[in-house]
Parts: sequence; C-alpha cells; structure tokens
Amino acid sequence: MNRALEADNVTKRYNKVVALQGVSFSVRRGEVFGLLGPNGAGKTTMANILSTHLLPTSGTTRVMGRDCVAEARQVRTLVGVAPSNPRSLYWRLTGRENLMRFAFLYGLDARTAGRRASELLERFGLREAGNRFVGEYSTGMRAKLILARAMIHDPPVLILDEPWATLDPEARIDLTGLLREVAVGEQKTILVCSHDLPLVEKVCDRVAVIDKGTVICSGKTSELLASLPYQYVIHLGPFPDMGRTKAVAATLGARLEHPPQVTGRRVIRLKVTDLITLFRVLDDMRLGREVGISVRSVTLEDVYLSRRRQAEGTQSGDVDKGEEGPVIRQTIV
Amino acid sequence: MLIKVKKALSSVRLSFRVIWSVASYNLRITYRYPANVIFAVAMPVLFILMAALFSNVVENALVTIMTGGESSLPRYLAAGLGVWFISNSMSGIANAVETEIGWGTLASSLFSPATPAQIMAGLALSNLIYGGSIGALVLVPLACLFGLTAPHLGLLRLLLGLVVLYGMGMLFAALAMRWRRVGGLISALAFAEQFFCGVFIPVRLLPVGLRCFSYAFPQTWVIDGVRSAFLGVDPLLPARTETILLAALAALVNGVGFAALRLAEKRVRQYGLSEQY
Repeated sequence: MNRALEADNVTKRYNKVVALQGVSFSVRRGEVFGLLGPNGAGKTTMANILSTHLLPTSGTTRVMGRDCVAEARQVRTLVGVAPSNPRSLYWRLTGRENLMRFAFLYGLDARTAGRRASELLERFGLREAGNRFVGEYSTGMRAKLILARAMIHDPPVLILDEPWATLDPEARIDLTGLLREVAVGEQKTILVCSHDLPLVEKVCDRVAVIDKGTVICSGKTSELLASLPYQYVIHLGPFPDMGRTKAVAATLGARLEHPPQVTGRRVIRLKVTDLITLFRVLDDMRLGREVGISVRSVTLEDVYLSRRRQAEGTQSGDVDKGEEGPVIRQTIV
Repeated sequence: MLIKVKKALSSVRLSFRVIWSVASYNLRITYRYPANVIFAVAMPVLFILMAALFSNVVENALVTIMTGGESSLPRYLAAGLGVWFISNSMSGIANAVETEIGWGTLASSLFSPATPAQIMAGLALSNLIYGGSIGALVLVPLACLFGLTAPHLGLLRLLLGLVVLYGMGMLFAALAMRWRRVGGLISALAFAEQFFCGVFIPVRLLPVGLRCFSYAFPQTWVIDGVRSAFLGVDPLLPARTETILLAALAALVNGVGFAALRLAEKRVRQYGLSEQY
C-alpha cells in the first residue's frame, strides 16, 4: 500500500449546493500534492473530508489505508491540518502554549509535548518568539506557527489549506522554503489546497485542478506543462500606435480577437513552441528597439486557465482573455 | 481482561489530560484579560464590604426578603452569590463555545482526536474554576468572619447542583455548536430561568399555575438547594427527597446534554462548523 491519501468518487452536497461531484485522486506516500482551483471550487471541502471534519455524501476517502468515516479517530492521529485562518490560534496564549495545548489534545504527555514544541519552534525560527503572545506575531509568524501546530504530533500526512493566503511576498517565499524542507527532510505526504499557482508549482510533485466540484485534470506538474500546445508566452509591445500593432499582427498571421481600440492596449500576446522561428520572423520585421519583447515559459497558471476553459467548453484554439489586453491567435509554431 | 482494564484506564487518563489541558489553557486566557481579573477581585471585596458594613448597621438583625424565611445579611449575600453563579453558568459555557467558533479555534481543536464532549468539559471546568474561585473568595471570608455554616445535606445538594449545571452547560454548548449564534436564545432562557426558578421571586410565592413551569426547570431545584443551604429556609420538597431528585436530575440532564453534543457533532460533520464552503 503506497497510497497515503485516496479519494474515490467523492460527492458532497450541502442541501441543494453540490460542493464536490465524483472527485477521485490519490496521493502517494512522501508526495507533495496540490489541489488547485478557484474560490468555491471545493478544495476546502475536500480537505475537510480527508481530515474527517466533514462526512462525504457518497464515495470513500482513506488516509494511510484507514477509512475517514469508519475510523475517523485513528485518521485524526495520522493527519495534521493547517487551516488558512490565522485566527485559529489562541492570541492570548504564547506560541509555545498554543503548541502545548494542541499537543495535549493529541494525547502527548507533558515531556513529549514540551520537546516537540521546542523542536518545532526552533525549526520554524520562532524560538525567540515562542514566549510571546501570538497576538503580537506577524501574519507570517502565525502561518508558521499554524504549520508547526499541524506537525506537533508528528503525523505522516499534512493537509494545508491555502497556506500562503494573507502572506506578503517575503513571507510567502519563506513559507514555501519551509514546506519544501518539511516535504524533503521529513518525507511527509502533503496535500496543499491553493489557488496560488506559482507557489504550488514550486512545491508540488503532482497536482489536480478542481473546478465546480469536479477534477478537470491531474498529473505531474511537468507533464501538465508539457501537455499545452505551446511552451512559451511572448509579449510584444507596447507599439507606438494602433496601426503598427495591427500591421505586426497581420504579418505574424495573427488575428486580433479583442481589438486594441477596445482595450486601449497596444500589446500583442503570442503563445509559441518554437522560439527560434518566431525570433527570425521578428528579426525580418525589424520592429526596432522601441518595442519590448518578453518571453516566459508556460506555468501551471496557463494549464489551469486552459483546462478551465476546456471544462467550460468555451475554448477556441489559443485565444484567451489574458490580462494583457488584445489577444492574438498564434499561427507561428 | 487485564489488558482491557489497562486500556480503559489509559483512555480515562487521556480523557482527563485533554479536559485539563483545555481547562487550564482557557483559564490562562481568561486571567489574561484585565477586566476578568478586576472582576474576580472586585466582586469578593464588594461582597465582604457589604457584609461588614451593613451587618454592623443592622447588627444581629434578621433580613426578610420575600423568601418566606429570614436570615442574616451575610447569609443572604452568600445565597445571592450562589444564585448569581447558577443564573450565569449556562450562558457562560454557551458564550465560550460561541467565542471559540468565532475565532476558529474550536474547528482546530476538532481536527484532533479529542471529542466535542471532552472539549466542552474542559471549557465548563475552566468556567467552574473561575466562578468557583470568586465564590471561594467570598464564602471563605464570610464563613470565617460571620460563622456561616451549611448542613451536610445542603453541601451535598450544592455539589449535585453543580453536576446538574454542568449537564445544562453541555446542552447549551450543543445548541451553540448547532446554531452558532445562540446569544438571543440564551438571554431569553436566562430571563425565563430568573423568573420561574426563584432568582427574582421565590418559587413558593409564584401563583400555583406558574409553579408547574418552575418545577420543570432543573435550575429551580439547584437554586432551592442553595437557598435552603445558606438561608435555612424549608426546601420545596423534604431535604432528603430533594437530594434524590437532584441526583436523578444530574444523571438525566448530563445524559441529555451528552446526547445533544453527539447530535451537534453529527450535524457539524454534515455541514461543517461554520457552514461555509
């Protein structure tokens, strides 16, 4: 049995609201798995079912081979849950007291609880802050303490719900490093529920994209990235005027889906596989130095948006409603 | 057999550890709010000052306040304190649960193997210790200064009353888990309790038609126990019968409270604690 987490055809209804519809996935032991999706997709519901906090309407879930409904108490000892709410700590207790209190709930004796609390405070860089009230902590420190609390009983499985929510960029990077360290150093199985795709990409081995309660794609991060019909996203512009924008678009054989006069932007977005061919074409066009070119590799965000559009049945080739404004149908591959 | 007994003992020990940890850390939080500390000190001081100053004014005088009995002022203060404690206890536990749900800390606690009943027991115990410490700070000086005593059966009834109140606390904690915002309901019930159970008006002075409502409230019997213990007035039923009744109520109310908590837990696992998804 190599599976740490299993969800098999899980459906959850809250009265008339269908939160999950036939969701299935499994997470191998020692793997970091990302459950991606927009707000309201059903990620937190899935996390709550796996942590035995909620009962599924139908389907089965297992943690380390144990049924989350029939063996709920045993499952709780195997799982550490880090909710996204920073208020889920006691702000009038110190960091150490928070860890100790929850350690006792997991049945640890005073000596073990104290040792674990010290270890985790040290590990997460909270040793000095351990004797201060949590109310005096920064949001980043609270996020670390919540993670430490989830690990207080040294569970083999961690479920993290939106771990980066409310964190500033520096704290996000800090926490991402910690998560990788925990995943690699302690070989824990980690389920990360998030819509923060760049960070999920950094941390997770495999992901499943969930939308409107169903899994719309899943697989290794690298495989999902490779599954896109393009590998790079290019931004050209801004062009000095609209006429030039249209001329370049015409030369590239691209069709303006959202004319720049509507959006007021003079940037062309291209999705390509063969960068060399594109640059040759651009070189021949002699665009001049005034036009900027930016190149980036595809990210999970592209996969996510692409699969969401597929699921919604509105996809039309490579056209999307990118935030950059006018969108071009790419013909150069 | 021996292994089973060992397992059972270990389970009980674990349960007590959980209850005590919830209670002890909740007490730390309680005493870290300055208002709670000020209240815990000011109230006993106020009671003792009242007893000292006004007992001198009406030295050896007996006070009669609608109770059908008469007693000294310190005894009335002691009884008043007991009645205040009872009328506040059920809202205290419901407020604690509401606060924990609002913070999100109850949800975090429920991710652990600890049961809602253990967590509620811990919260109730911390309330009991906080209220009990205030009570002790009043009663001990009153007993020393004014020679207050209570009959043994009265003390037993007080203890049984506490167990009944604990059951009521579980019941209201279950309501708070089920509906989250139960402040209005608790206020309404607290008023009904104060009216029917002998806080405002002694039950024996209520019209006969209303007394049947009074008898249905478990708190009536707890308050009656306090009054008879401290004021020496005749209880509603003979002392021995009332003690047995309180013991039966303690078992019944705790059973109902525990069942209500289990139902609330089931509901929480169906719809979530915050019912947000």
